Amino acid sequence: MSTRAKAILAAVAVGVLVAISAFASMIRRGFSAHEEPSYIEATMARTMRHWAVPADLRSEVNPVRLTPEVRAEARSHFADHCAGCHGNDGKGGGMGRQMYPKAPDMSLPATQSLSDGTLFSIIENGIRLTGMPGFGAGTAESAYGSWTLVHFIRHLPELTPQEIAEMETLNPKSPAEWQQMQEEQAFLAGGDEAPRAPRAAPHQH
Amino acid sequence: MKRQIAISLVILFGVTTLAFAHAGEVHSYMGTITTLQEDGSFMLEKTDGTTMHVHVTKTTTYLHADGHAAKPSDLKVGSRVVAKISKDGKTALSIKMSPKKQ
Repeated sequence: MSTRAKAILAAVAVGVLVAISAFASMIRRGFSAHEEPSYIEATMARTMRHWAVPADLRSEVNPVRLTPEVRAEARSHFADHCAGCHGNDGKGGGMGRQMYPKAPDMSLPATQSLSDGTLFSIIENGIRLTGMPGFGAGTAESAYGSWTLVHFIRHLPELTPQEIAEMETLNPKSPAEWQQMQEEQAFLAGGDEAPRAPRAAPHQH
Repeated sequence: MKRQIAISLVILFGVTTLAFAHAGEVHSYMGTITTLQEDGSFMLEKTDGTTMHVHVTKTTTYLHADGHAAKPSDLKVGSRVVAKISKDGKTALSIKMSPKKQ
């Protein structure tokens, strides 16, 4: 065996040892959903997401015309179905914060730069091995709802506090949260309010 | 020496426990403004009769209960508000006040 072959063999052996050592270390340490995905994981996941979008959809432009009514409809839809994980502002402040990978801040270019068709496909089909479910039902009604949500996602960077406040009234609530909201409205309207201990603001589920 | 280290650790544990007690919760408080500072912060008399100082920042949002936008200058002594307070227990994330009079 030549010296060069020996050197290559030694380098491969060292590489294998390092890989085994790293793997053993990872197994011993365990895995947690609290961590951020590594660069390699994130790159692989984004590549897989890109491939998961049907080719004919990638370049598709939103066929639903944007009107104030469509945006309001999508805002309500988002508050009811999406905000639990993404937060009303789409910044990932809901349950998505605990997921792996975490729900992204959709107001940032990483999401805003995706094509209409890609966003539509993600809403309709979900993303495998993440917390994003596929909401599509294969119907025209479902497709329409998803396209309107694409419009709303585009609007996220300009979302106003008033819109967020309106969405808060539309988020799914427990009976206790409904009661708290009604108490607060009555108090602000000038009604009497019995003293009560402070309580946590409604969680967004 | 060991005793000093042990005492230091106990004190450190106690302080950090207090510091992080109740962390992770966002609370909302209903009450009436009793005093207003120039920087927009105010003293809130809560509905249970106790008071708290509410700090505001540039990111604090102001709204009327009917969803219309409000300004910090809309707050007056005597205003009823619902303040959503951040995890630090004193800084307001949002302040909702009575509907604007037409």
